Amino acid sequence: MSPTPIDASVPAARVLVIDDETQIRRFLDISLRAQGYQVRQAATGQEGLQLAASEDMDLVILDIGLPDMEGHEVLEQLRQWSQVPVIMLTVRAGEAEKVRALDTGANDYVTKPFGTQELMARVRALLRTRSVPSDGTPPVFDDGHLHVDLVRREVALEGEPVALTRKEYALLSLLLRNAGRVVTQPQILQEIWGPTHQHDTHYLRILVGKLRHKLGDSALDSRYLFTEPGVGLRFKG
Amino acid sequence: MITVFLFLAAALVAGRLASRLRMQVIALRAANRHARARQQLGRQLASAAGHGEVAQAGRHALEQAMDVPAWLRIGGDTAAGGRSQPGDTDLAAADWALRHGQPSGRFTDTLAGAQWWFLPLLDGEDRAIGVAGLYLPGAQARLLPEQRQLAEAMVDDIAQAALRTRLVAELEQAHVSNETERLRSALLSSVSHDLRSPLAAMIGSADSLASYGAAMDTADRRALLDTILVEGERLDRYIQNLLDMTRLGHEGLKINRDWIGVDELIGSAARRLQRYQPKVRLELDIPSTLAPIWVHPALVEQAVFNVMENAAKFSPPDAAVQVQARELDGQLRIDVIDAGPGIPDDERARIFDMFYSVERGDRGRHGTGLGLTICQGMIGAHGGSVQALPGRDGRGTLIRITLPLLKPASHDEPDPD
Repeated sequence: MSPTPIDASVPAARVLVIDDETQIRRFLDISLRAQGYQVRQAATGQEGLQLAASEDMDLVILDIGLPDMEGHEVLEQLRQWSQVPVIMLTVRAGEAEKVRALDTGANDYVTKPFGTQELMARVRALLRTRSVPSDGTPPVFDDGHLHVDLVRREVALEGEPVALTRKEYALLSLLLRNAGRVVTQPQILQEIWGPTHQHDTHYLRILVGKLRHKLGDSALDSRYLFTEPGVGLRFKG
Repeated sequence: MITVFLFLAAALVAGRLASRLRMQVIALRAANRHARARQQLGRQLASAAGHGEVAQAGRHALEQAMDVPAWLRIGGDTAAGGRSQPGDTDLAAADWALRHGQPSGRFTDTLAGAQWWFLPLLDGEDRAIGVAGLYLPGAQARLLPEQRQLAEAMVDDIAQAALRTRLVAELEQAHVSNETERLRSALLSSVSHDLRSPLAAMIGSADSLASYGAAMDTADRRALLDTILVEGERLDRYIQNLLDMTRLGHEGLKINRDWIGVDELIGSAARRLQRYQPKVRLELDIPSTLAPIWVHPALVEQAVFNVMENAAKFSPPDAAVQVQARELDGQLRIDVIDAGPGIPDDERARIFDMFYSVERGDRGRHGTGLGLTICQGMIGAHGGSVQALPGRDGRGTLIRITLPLLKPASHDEPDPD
C-alpha cells in the first residue's frame, strides 16, 4: 500500500501497538480493527522501532514498560526520525512519568487500566489533528455555545464577543490547537511566559481561573478546560 | 631519765596508734566515698532509657567520683567531656580494650604510652559491650588500690545498666515485630477477600458469556459485560489503595508541591467519582474566591477522592454528598458530608486506623476501607489533619480535611498579565 494523505473521514489508518502483554495487544487489536483501523503489533521496543521504520504508520500506541527497553527510550529514538503521533500507556500515580512522556514528544497518554472508548476517542482526536496540515488553516471551534476562530482571533460565548487578555488568548489558543490532548504545565509555561518562568505555576492557576470564568466554564463541572492534577490542562476532546 | 624513757615509749605507742587510726579513718572515708559514688551512679543509671543516656550518666558519675576527666563509649554512643578528650593513641587503646575485653592504656601492659586508662564494659560472658576511659596523665606514677577498686566497681555498674537498656530495647523491638506481624496477616486476609470477590464475579460472568452467550438475549449479555467492567474497575481501585498504602508505609512518599486551584482538585475528584458511579449525587460548594493552594496536586486529589468515594458509599441513593471548602485562619478546610448511618462516637476516631478498617473486613460494604487511612497519610504528609465529626444536624458523617496554607520560599505576588 502506498502512503496516502491521511483523512480522518476515511478510517483506514495504520496503528502500531507496542506492548509486551499479549492480552492487552489482543483486545487492542480487536477493538481497533472493529473501528476500521489496520493494526500491527510488537511485543518489544526493538521490534516496534523496526516496524515503525519499515512500514508507514499513522499512529503508535506505546506501553511505558517494555521488557527490553523503557517506553521513554523507544519514544526518544522514534522522535529522532519520525513525527508520527504517539499515545503512551502509563500507570496511575505516575504524574511525573506522564509529564516526562509528553515532554519527550508523546502526543497523549492513557492510564492503565483504561476503557476502550477512552482510548478510541484519543486515537480519533490525534488522527484528526494530523489531517490538518500544519501550515494550513487552524481549526475553528464551535459547539453552539462557544465559538473560537484562531485565524480572526475571535472568541464569542452565546453569540456575545468575549474580551480576552493577550495571555488568556494565548493559553486558549495553545490548548485548542491541541484539543483533546493534555498539554503539560512545563509546555504551557514555556509557550506563554518563556523559558525564564518555568516555575511560575501560580501565574498559570490564576490565568486558568480567569479564562474559565470568561468562557462561562467551571473547574467543578468542566465543559471546555479540564485540569489533570499534577500533569497539565486539556481542552475538551 | 626513766620518766623521759616512759614518755618516749608512750609517745611512740600513741603515735603508732594515732597513725593506725588515721589510716583507718582514711580507708573508711574512701569506702564511704566509694559507697556514695556508687549509690549516686545507681540512681542516675536507673532512669537512663538508652545507651546514650547510660553513657552520659556513667561518664558524669565517673568524673565526679574519680575527679579526673572521663570518657565512655557504649555501642554506637560516645559520651565525652569538654575538658579533655582521648587522642589517636588513646583511641587505639580504647579500641583494643573493646576488642579484647581487657583493660588497656596507662597502668597496663598494652599501649601503656596512652594518657588514658581504659576499662572494658563486660557482659555476663566477658564480652565487651563498651569501654570507659579515665584521663590520668604522667603526674600520677601509679594507681591507688582504692581508685582501681572504685573505678572497676563503677564500670561494672554501668555495664549492667547498659545491658538492661539493651534488653528493654530488644523487647520493644519484638513487640513492634508482633504488631507488624498482626497487621500483615490482617491485611493479607482482607486483601485476599477483596481481590477474590470482584475476581469471582468477573470470572463467573465471563465464563457464562463464553459458555451460554449464544443462548442469551442482548440485555442479559449486556448485564454480564457490565459486571465484568464494574468489578474490574473496583479491583483496580483496591490495588491502587494497596500501592498507596505501601508508598505511605515505607516513607517513599515524596511531596512535590505545586500550585493548584481548590476547585480544580475537587472538580477532578468529582469527575473521577462520577465516572465510576454515574448515579452519585454531589453538591459542591467551593467559593470562586478561594486562592490556589501549594500542595502535591495528585496526592491531595486522591485524598479528597477517597473521602468522597467513602461518603458516596454510605449515602442513601436519594441523598447528595456535600463538599464544602472554606479558608479559615490561614488554613484550608474541606468538609465532606454524607447522610448515611453515621459512626458511633466511640468508633469515630478509629475509622482512620488501619487495624479498624482492615479488621472490619466484610462489614464494610465494599471491602478494605483503607481509603480513609490513606487519606490521613497523604494529608498528614502535607502537615494537615483529617477528622471524623457527626453530620450537620446530627445525622450522617462529616469528614473534615484541614490543610495549612503554605507558600514556596520565594514567592512573588502573581501578575498574570
